[in-house]
Amino acid sequence: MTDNLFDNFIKEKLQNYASPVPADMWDRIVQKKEKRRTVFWWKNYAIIGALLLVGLGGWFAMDANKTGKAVANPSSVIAPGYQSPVSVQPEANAAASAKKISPPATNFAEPANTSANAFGDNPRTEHNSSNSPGTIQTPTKTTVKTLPEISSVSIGKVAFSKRTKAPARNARAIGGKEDKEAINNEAISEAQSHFMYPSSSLLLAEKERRNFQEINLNLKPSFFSVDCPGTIDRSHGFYLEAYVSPDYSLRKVDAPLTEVDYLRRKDSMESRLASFTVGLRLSKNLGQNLVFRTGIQYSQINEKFSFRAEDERRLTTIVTIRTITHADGSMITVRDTSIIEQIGYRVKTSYNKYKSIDVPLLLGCEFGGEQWRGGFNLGAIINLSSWQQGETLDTSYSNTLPFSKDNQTIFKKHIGLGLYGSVNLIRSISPSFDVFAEPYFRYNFSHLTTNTSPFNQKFHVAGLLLGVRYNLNRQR
Amino acid sequence: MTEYEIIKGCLKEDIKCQRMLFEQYAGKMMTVCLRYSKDSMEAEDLLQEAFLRIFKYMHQFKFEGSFEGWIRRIVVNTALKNIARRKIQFAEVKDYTEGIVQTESSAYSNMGEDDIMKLISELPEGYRLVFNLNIIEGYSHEEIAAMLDIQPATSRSQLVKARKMLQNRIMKLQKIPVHDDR
Repeated sequence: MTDNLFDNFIKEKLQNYASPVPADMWDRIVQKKEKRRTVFWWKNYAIIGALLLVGLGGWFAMDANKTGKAVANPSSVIAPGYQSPVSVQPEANAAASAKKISPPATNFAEPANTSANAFGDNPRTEHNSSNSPGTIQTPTKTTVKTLPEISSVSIGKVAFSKRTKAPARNARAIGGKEDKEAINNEAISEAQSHFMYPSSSLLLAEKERRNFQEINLNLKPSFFSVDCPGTIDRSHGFYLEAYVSPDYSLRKVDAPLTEVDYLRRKDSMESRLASFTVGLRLSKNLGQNLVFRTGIQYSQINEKFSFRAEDERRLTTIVTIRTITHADGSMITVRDTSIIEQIGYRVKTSYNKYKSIDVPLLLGCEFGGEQWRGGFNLGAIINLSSWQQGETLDTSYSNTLPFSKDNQTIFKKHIGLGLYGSVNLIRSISPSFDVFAEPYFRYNFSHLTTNTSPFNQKFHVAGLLLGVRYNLNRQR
Repeated sequence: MTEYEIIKGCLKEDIKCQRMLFEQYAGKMMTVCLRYSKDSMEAEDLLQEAFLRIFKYMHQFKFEGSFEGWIRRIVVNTALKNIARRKIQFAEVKDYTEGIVQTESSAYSNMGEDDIMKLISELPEGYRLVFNLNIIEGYSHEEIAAMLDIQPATSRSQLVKARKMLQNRIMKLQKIPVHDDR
């Protein structure tokens, strides 16, 4: 009993004894609390900053793409065979520069009386003034300038500005038949044929096109480089995506109000099984590179729970009787008694399922070619509904706590917001279908458990989306 | 202000209520921290961490049972988590005074709390931990074995050794009452 007295004495002495506390202890607690709050908010700012960066990056990509179009796609109207006029300009200059123009010879092979050029002048008298009358400059002598220097628009303007004078002269030249409208139309069509689609200059046009392609190939590749816009326009991309993903769940558990051993035992009873996600998504291009994705998905995390509890104790008494005979004939009997205790355990196995329906809201950036494209996505996952079924360890260790859709005292019905990040690789398999692989990571902000649960638990998930997408616009 | 009002204020993160709560329980919890720590510096860090957790998880107190008991559990759990980071040896320590008979109550009944705290802090870590959990916190040996990942028999053995070592050291510091015969 002395030990009991001693124990009780110690307990009574120390149970309610208050030790001196340093004077600055409260200030230290307040400082630490503020520091942790700041770290928490910095983490949130970092996440928001990352989202903004993705958004800005995508917007910049879209903007650079529009600029890139202007640079990489010069005017398709090429006026072949002309020396470039110095600038685009008023008619006085245009008239002067017109004198330098030497139209293709074939045009002037036609009768001049009936096919005056758009300037309304007789080309034989004016345009070849530098040479002896009657000579025609051949196209081969004309030099083709590099594309930015040729301004077909200026030539076109010159042509049409002069056109207004032409009909009157032409009417007099023809001989008085003043069908101005007919002649006007004829002049326009002649101008078009001479300057824009001259029959003999088709070869030259082809040469210009090849020059353009060569220049395009030599353009320095940039992060936002796109295909020749004439071939693929992705700004109208609108896809329906279907995917499935094998998942790996990372469970984070803590139990501030229960014994340390509770978590250890709980963890030893639970083991991870295969988890998965299936979903449908709409993907809309907001430009050549920026993409918005949303849809609906179902996720299920599976776990095996094996509860081992003592079920039976069996005590067996073993009595061993031995008789020993001595040399002198005396006998002694020795009786040994031993007790063996056997403990029987019951193992109960159940399968826990954590199910949820979520809506992803993602902003992404895609880049690449026609066959292969890559990109990344960042955004939020909003949980619409969450339900669970299974069992977990009770704090008494002798029983299990069941949970189900009807009994949600441990887990919540809505787990709130999560952050989603992924990279994707897309392969085109037909004009309408692509296949894609998208490794992702989902970070959940809130715990899955309620306030009344003996522990706090949440899951973060990593997986690999494998899917197929259908181009709803079918514009390639 | 009643305890209920203080707790409600803490739930609303009222700094004044939190300070009042701290001032009311800091002394007792410091004693708990000193019993589970190697030194006073570690005890101060433990107290700081424990109160941060108390404020963080205040919403989980359901006004069932003693609030002081709830706080004490958090402090003890925080101490055990801190101790778990160190690998404690539960080896038997050779005590050369094993032959001393059981201590009479007169030997220790005059001892003050500070003396007892000092003696407990001088115990080997394994002895001290089991002694605190069993004698003062009231956990059974099976519970202690599960918490510390040891066998119940080891827990019993550690307690017996701890008690004996304490009693022996008390005998060395024997406090004899002085009677004034005037």
